[in-house]
Amino acid sequence: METIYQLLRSTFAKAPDAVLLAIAIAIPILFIVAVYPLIFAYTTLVERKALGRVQNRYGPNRVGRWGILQPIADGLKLMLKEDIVPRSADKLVHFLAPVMAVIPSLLLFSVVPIAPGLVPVNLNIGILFAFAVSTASVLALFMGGWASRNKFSLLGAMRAVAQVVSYEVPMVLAAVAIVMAAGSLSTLAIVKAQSHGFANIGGWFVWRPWGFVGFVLFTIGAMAESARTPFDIPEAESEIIAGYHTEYSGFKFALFQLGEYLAAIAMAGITVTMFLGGYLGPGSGPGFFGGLMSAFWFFTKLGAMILLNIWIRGTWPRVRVDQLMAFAWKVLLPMSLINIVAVGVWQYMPSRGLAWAATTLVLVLSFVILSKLNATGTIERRTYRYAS
Amino acid sequence: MGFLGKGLLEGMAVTARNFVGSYFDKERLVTVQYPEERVEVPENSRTFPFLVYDGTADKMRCVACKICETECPPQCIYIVMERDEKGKPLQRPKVFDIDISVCMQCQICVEVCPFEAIKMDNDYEKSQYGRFDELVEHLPDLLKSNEYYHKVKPSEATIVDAKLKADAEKKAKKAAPAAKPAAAAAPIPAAAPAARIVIPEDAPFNPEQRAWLSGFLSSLSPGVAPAAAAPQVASTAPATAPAEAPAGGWPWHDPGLGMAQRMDLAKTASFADKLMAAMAQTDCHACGYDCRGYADAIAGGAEADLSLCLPGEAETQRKLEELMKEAGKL
Repeated sequence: METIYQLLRSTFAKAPDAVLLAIAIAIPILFIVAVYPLIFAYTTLVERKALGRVQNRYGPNRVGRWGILQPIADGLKLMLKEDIVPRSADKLVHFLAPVMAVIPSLLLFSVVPIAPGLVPVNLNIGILFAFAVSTASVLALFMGGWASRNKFSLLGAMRAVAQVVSYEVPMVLAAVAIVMAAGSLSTLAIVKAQSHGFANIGGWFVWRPWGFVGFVLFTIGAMAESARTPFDIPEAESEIIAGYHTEYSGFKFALFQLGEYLAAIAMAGITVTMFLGGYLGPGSGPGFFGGLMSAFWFFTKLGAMILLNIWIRGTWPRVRVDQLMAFAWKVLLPMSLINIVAVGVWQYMPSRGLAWAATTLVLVLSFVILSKLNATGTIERRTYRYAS
Repeated sequence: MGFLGKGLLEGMAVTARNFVGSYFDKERLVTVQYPEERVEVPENSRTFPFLVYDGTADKMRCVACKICETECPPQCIYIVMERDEKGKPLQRPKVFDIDISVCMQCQICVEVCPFEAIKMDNDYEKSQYGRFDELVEHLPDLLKSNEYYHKVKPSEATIVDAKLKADAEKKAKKAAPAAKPAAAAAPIPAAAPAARIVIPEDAPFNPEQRAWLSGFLSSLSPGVAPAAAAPQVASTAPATAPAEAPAGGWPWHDPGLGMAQRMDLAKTASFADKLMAAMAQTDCHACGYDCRGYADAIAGGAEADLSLCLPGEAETQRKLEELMKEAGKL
C-alpha cells in the first residue's frame, strides 16, 4: 500500500492527498477480491482434475475444453439454487455465518507479500495478525453449526472448534521459531531475513533443520486449521453428513466453500512467506522486472503448496477424532516446543557446522523418541476357539 | 526402518505414480466417455419389451390375445384389440401401450407370448423430459422389425425364426387333411357383444365400456341374460353352428369375467355354448379358430385337441375335459 501510494505521489504530484490515498487503498483491496477468488475457482478445477488422475479418472472434461469453464458453471449453478433456511434456524446467525467465513480468509491475504514492498498492509505484527484473523473463521463455523439447529451441524461445529483450537497451538509455536530466527513479526521482514545465500534460494528457512521441522508442523497445522482432507472431520460426510454446512444450500454453501478454500490458499501463502522464502527466487528483487519475477516466484510457490495440499488430499485417509486430538497434543505440540529450543541452540552456537550438528541431533532424537512413545504396536492376531 | 509417518509417505508415492501414470498409460484410464463412447451391451442384456413385425409394420405378430397383459406382474401393459365396423375382431391390437416407468423388465411377457411377438430390447437410452405420458410407449414406438430383433439379439432371433418356420410347416401339414372342417369353421364370424341388453345406446359410455357393463350386469342379474339367451341358443342347431350371435349375444363372451361367472352365464345354454364359455374369450386365434369356432369344432368332433386355448391355460383345458366327460364324449 505504501509503495503504491509513493508511486502515485511521485507521478501525480499535484493530486489531492485524499484521492491518492483512497486509490492506494482501493488497489490492494481490488486485487485481493479479484485475484484470490479466481485462484480459488481454478483450484477447485485443478483439485478435481488431480484427484481424478490420482484415481485414474479424467476428472471434469465436459464444460469447455479440459473442463476449463467448470468453475463458472458450478458458480452459476450454486447461485441459481434455492436458498433454504430451516424453519427452526436462528435466521440472523444462519445468514451471518457464511459471510463470517469469507471475511477472515480475505483478511489473511492482506499480510501476504507478493513482491518486495508489495504487501497490501505492511503490519509490523503481520504474523500475529494472520493468526488472530485465521482463528476467527472458527467462529463462522460454530455460528453456522449452532444456527442451523441440526444435530449434525452442531456436531460438526463442535468438532471444528475442538480441532482448530488444538492445532492452533503447534502451528503458532512453529511460527514462533521462525519469528525467533527472523527477529520480526512483519511478513516483509521475515522474507527479507531469508534473502541471502545462493540465487535467493539458499536462505530459505526450510533448508535449516528447525525450518524444515517447522515447515512440516506448520503445513499440518494449516491443513487442520482449514479443515482439509486428512483433518476434515468437521465435515466428515460418512458420519455427520456435511457437518456445519449441512443446512446450507445455494450461494451460502458456496460462500462456505469459498471461505474454506481461501483460508487454505492464504495459509499456503503464509507458509510460503515464512518457510519458502516468500517472493524470493532467481531474478527477484526491487524494480519493475525484479518485482515481476518476485510475483512469479510467489505464485509458483503458492501453486506448489496448493498442489501439495491436493496431493495429500488424494492420498491420506481421514483421521479419527481421537487420533486427531492425540496427534495434535502428543506429537505436534512436543515437537514444536523442541523446535523452539532448536532455534535457540542454532542462534547461540559458535559455528554454523556445530549449529547444524546440534540442531539436527536434537530434532532427530526427539522425533525418534516421540515415534517410540506414540507407537501403537502391532495388533495381536486374533485366534478363534471354535471357528478355526 | 520404520518411523512415524513412513506409511503416509509410501502412500504419497503410490498416488504420485498413479497421477503421472495416468498421463502416459492410456490403459489406466478405464472411464468410458459415455455420449461419445458406448459399452457394447451383451446379447443377454435386456431393458424394455418391443413388438416384432415381419417385413412391414402392418404384419405384426401380435394378435392382441392379452396373455401378456394378464401375466404382467406390475400391470404395465394395456391392450385393446382392433375390430372392424361390425365388431369382428381383427386379430391385431388397436392399442398396445407399455408404461416403461412401471415395467420392471422381468421378461415374463416374452416368456408367455405364444406368437413370439413381444421381445426384450436392449436399448437403454429411454430418458424423457416428463415422467407421465412421455414414458408410455404406444404401438408405433413399440413396433420393431424382425431385422432389428436380429440385430440386437442375433442368436435368440435365429432360434425364434427356426421355431416359427417349423410351426408354420406343421400347421400347413395339419391343414391339408383337415381342410374340410377348417373350411367349415372358417366362415363363422365372431359375434359382436355389442347389442346385448340393458345399456341403452345413448348412455354415456363408449362401446367398450358398454360391452363390459352389459356383461357385468347380466352376470349380476341371472334372470335377464340367460333367459334372453336361452331360447335363442336352444333354437340353434349346434352341429351347423350359428352364423350370427343370438339377439341376446353370448353374455359369457367377455374376457373380463372369471371362469365361474362365465360357466354360470352359460348354465342353461347348449353344449357348444358351454364349451365356448370355458374359453378365455379373447378371440386370439391361438388355437386356429375364434372362441366360437373352437367350441363348435370340438362339439362337432372336428377338433380333438382340448389344449389349444393358450390364454385360458390349464383352467380352460380342465373345464373342457370336464364338460366332454359329462357329455360322455371323452
